[in-house]
Amino acid sequence: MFEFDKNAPYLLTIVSLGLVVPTILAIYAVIRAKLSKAKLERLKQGEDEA
Amino acid sequence: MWSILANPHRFMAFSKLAAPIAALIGLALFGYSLWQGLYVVPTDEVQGGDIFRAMFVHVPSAWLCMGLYVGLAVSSFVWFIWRHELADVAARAIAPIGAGYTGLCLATGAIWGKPTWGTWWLWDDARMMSVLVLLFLFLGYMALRSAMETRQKAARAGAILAMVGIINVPIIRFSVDMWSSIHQGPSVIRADGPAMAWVYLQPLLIGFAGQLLFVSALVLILMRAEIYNQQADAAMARRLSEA
Repeated sequence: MFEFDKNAPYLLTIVSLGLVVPTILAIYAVIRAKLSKAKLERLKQGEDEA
Repeated sequence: MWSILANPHRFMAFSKLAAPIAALIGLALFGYSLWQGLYVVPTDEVQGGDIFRAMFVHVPSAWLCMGLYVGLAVSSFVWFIWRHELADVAARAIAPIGAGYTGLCLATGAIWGKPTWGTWWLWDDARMMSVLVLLFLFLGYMALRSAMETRQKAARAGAILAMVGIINVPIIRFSVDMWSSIHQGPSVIRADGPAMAWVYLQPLLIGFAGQLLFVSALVLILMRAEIYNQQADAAMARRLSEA
């Protein structure tokens, strides 16, 4: 496809990190939001049953 | 607009729509910037050949980690002065994202430094050390908050740390001018205008705008999580008081 010079391994590592770190942060944010929402719904369900 | 969003119910309705839209537009812009940066713009031999393309990842992460810290400090200030709960929620949400982007900035800078300067890291370099301090400020903020017994104490201690730590942001910005640094001087935000050619500057700014939107979406999602947590704590307190 495209070829880079001798520093390609460094460049590709940087680009990979630039994709992996935001992806990890996004997964962390979504999981935290889902867990918090599930916890709240569980509590609300318990209140309704009580 | 801010006073409207200060209501948690309105904020939840707004963020439910805004977060996915901002994330999608942000990803599209960042993707365009990376494609331009990696494959379209010409190689800059003065900057060491193809390794200069790392700029399209490293520079937005550097701007963002400083911007996120300013956001953390401003949110903390708003909470500290007006005790607005949503500001504290924002501060809590910004901290982990800021730590992640500061780590990304440090890692990509070190990897870029090896082929360019012949070293991964210099302990006496003002720019590198001040960004490392920024990472410790983000991590310290989170650690300090989690060490506190109550939410109010955590917010107060965290806000003081965040406000004091803001001094590090201008230190990072002017570190290359004030002290010796192997890092190059500013090439975009300068008194006499950008030193960078438009062919590089345009995708760089688009990539920054994309990452800014993406990060804003993540902060909104984490703020939603924090509001759910507070509502769950309130429900738990109600249940305990009734028992």
